[in-house]
Formats: sequence, C-alpha cells, structure tokens
Amino acid sequence: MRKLRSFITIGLHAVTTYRLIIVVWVLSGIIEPIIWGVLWFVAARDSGLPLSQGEVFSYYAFILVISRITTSWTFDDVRSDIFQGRYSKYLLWPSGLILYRFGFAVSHALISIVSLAPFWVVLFMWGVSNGLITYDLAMLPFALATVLLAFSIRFSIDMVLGHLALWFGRTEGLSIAYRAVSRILGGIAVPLMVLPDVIGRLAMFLPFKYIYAFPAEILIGTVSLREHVFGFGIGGLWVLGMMGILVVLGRYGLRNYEAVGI
Amino acid sequence: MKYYRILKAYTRVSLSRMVSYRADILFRFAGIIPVFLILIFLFSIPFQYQSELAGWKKNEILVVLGMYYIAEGVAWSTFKSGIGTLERMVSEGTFDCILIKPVSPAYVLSLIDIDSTRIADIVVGSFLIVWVLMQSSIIPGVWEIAGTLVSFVAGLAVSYSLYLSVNTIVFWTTHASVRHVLQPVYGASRYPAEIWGEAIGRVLVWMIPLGLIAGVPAGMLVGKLGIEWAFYATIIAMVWIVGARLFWRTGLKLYVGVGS
Repeated sequence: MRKLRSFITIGLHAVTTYRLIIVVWVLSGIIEPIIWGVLWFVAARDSGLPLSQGEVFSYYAFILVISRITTSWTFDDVRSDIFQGRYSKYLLWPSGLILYRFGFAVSHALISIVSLAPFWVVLFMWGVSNGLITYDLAMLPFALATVLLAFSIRFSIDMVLGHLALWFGRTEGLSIAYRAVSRILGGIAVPLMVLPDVIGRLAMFLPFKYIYAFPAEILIGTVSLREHVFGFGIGGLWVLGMMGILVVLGRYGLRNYEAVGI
Repeated sequence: MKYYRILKAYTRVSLSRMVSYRADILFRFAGIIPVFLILIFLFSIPFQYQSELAGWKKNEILVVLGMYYIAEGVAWSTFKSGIGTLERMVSEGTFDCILIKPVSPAYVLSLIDIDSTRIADIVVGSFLIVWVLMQSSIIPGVWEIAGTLVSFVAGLAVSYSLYLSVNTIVFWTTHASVRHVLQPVYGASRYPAEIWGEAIGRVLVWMIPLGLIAGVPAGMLVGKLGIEWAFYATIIAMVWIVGARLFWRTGLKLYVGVGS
C-alpha cells in the first residue's frame, strides 16, 4: 500500500509539473463525448428517437465524467515502453510494472476529477435549470462502485493489450481499433439504449459497456436490480480474467523481449 | 525534384517499416472494417425515424462519412504522424536533426513518420462513397467531380495548417500535447456542419473550417453545393496556409535545442 501511495504521488507530481497538460487532458477528453452528445441531442429532437433530449443530455453529462475517470494511457505507455526497449527498468524494480502503472492511472484519474469538476458543475446546473437532467441520487453509492469497477476493467484490459507488444512489436493498429470499438460498444458514440436488441445483448457480455455506459445508466435510473447484479458479475469476471491473462503474458512474453527496442 | 526525392525516400522507409510489423497491418485492416460497418449503422439510426437530419439525407451523410475517412487516411499517411512527433523532438532537443537538413523543416517533419497503415481508411472511405453513389443513382458531372477534388485538396490544406499550427504551440509550452485536443475536434467534420446548428455551422465552415475537410467536398459531390464552393474553399485554405506558415516561423525562432 505504501508503494502504491508513492507511485500515486510520483504520478501527481509528474502531471502537475506541466500544468497545461491537465487542461489538454480535460479538453481532449470532453470534446468527443460532447460531439456525440450534440449529435444524439439533435437526433432526439428531429427524429423521435426512443430517448428524450433530457435523457440524452443526462446520459452524456454522466458519460463525460465517467469517461474521464476511466480513461488511461496505460495501453499506449506499456506498448511504447516495450517497443522502445524501456521495459527493462521495470523488470529490475521489486514492485514491478503493474503497481507502477496502476499508481499512475490512479493519479491521472484523481487529476481528471479535480480538473473537470468546475466545468461539470456548470454543465449540471445548466441542465437542472433547463429541466434536462434526470438522475436518481439514491443510486450514487452503486454508481461509485461501478466507476471503481470500470476503472479496474479498463486498467486490466490496457495492461493485457499493452503486453501484446512483446509478441507483435508494433501494435498501433490494435490501439486504434481498440479505441474505436470501446467507444462504440461502450456507449460513448451512441447511447446503448438506442441500439437494436442483438447488439445491446452482445454489449452486455463485452467489457466496454461496464467501462462507460453502465455507471451512467445507473445514475439516470434505467438499470434494474437484476441488471445491477449481472453487470457487477460480468465486470468482475472481466477483471479477473484479464489479470489472469496478464500473469501468463508477462511470464511467457518476456522470452520475446529484446531489451533494446524491437 | 529534391522534395520529390525526399518524399519517395520517406515513403519507402515507411513501407518497409510497415511490412516489418505484419501483425500491425492485420490489426489495422481487421479493425477498421467492423468499426466502419458499426459507424454506418450508427449513422442510419436517426433515419429510421425520419428521412432527413438537418437537411441531409442518409446517403448524403454517408458520403460525408466516406469523405472524412479518405481525408483522415490521406492526412495520417502523409503529414499527421510526422507533425505529431514534434512535441517529443522539442522536449528531447532532437529537433536539431531536422533543422540542420538543407530543406524546409516543416516539410521534413511532415514526412518523417508516414503511417502507411492508414491507407486502409482511404480504401474503405472510397468504397463507401462509390457504393452510396451507386445505390442512390447519383452520377456526378465533370464540374461536380472537379469541384469536389479542388475542395478536397483545400480541405486537406486546412487540415494540415490546423494541425501544424496547434503543434507549433509546443515551441512555447514544450510539453503541451495540444494536438490531443485537436484530434477529437476533427471528429466533428465527420458530419455536415449544419448538424451543429446555424451559428456553430458557420464557424466550422468559415473560421475553424473543419467543415471543409469532408462536408464541403461531399456536398459538392452529391450536388448539394454549387461550384462556387470550390473557390471559397481555396481562398479559406490559402488564408490558413499563410497563417500557419507565419505562426510556424515565429515558433521556430523560440526553439532552444537543449531539451527540457
């Protein structure tokens, strides 16, 4: 725990050294959900989607925060460490790469929450004053728990995909495809409620929904108790599965590591 | 001629690097097709409820999407990756290696990291446009095609100028990664500017002309916009190129070459 706290502190120091990066993070992270949100907001007004404009607004207001908290650069950092031969130093550390990266991801999430808060409060108040926000405050503890779950899912998947560079060298194509798929099936590009049943059901078994859409749906009160339990179960299984794969990848992948960049 | 030889050399390096990592090509091509199909599907959802969105029919919006993919494919497989390396070079002090070359630093920087895997975007974007035009029996005339090509090149020039300008900020801030802000903004050009409402739509065409990247060429191809738009697009692109060039030269003077 002390080591993790140290890594979080290092991460916080690293980020706050270049404060403009924080502004960049906030802006780059909120622009995409805003663009998609405006599109579906217009579609809800013009084309009679099964969602009202208020529901679309609330959904994207919550997605904005959740996507910021769960966004991490772990995949890109790990793959570039391996590709450029910087992975060696982590092999020498007694605490290892996982704890270091986890500490950094937590520090990024903390900074994201703090830096996004003023903007989000203004957005929320504007939504309330215009009658666009629907939320269920009683669901807040559950939503917080799902955000923690979402963070763990995202981190474990990022670590696994990052380690694939031990086999394939360059995995930029995978990174691009992963980002696109996770945004679509995670509910950023489209609220999952408007997707047809087949894709909606498929999304229930994939991890992406539990990284973004699930906590937002809980907050706006569209998730039943059964879906809660199911979501936690599936999300937990994904974390366990990914951590198991990561252990195997770390052990066997090291044999392919050339230490001088691939 | 010298510049053409440089382009050829960097393209050759990029292609040989691409084939060195065959799995990456596979990921890129295997990844883009399902994503593209899902995007087409997403774009069709609002049209299940009505025939037009902000004055655009489904097929017309799909042409904008195809045009966006082609423009992004061309941009990434030429200048975007290279310009994106500027931040690292400036912060590590390795930008000197570009400056000592007897050619334009902006030109070399643009070509230094050509991402050939993004040719996949050009292929799927072109396929979508041809397929939509055939489905909707739209046969563009010679003027429409010429206007589309001119406005497409103008859109690329705007895209280049914007990307270069935003990355030039790194000479002042060193570690800003400001390009990460711009990339999601580019996503707005996936749709016609009218979707964002009248005021924002005008900004996206005339001031921060992301609408030129895909919306205007697509509008000309499907006959929604007249040939005069090719002229407007060219003027806007020229203004942006000159502005970006001046900004770049100002930033360049601040480079200290020691890393930070």
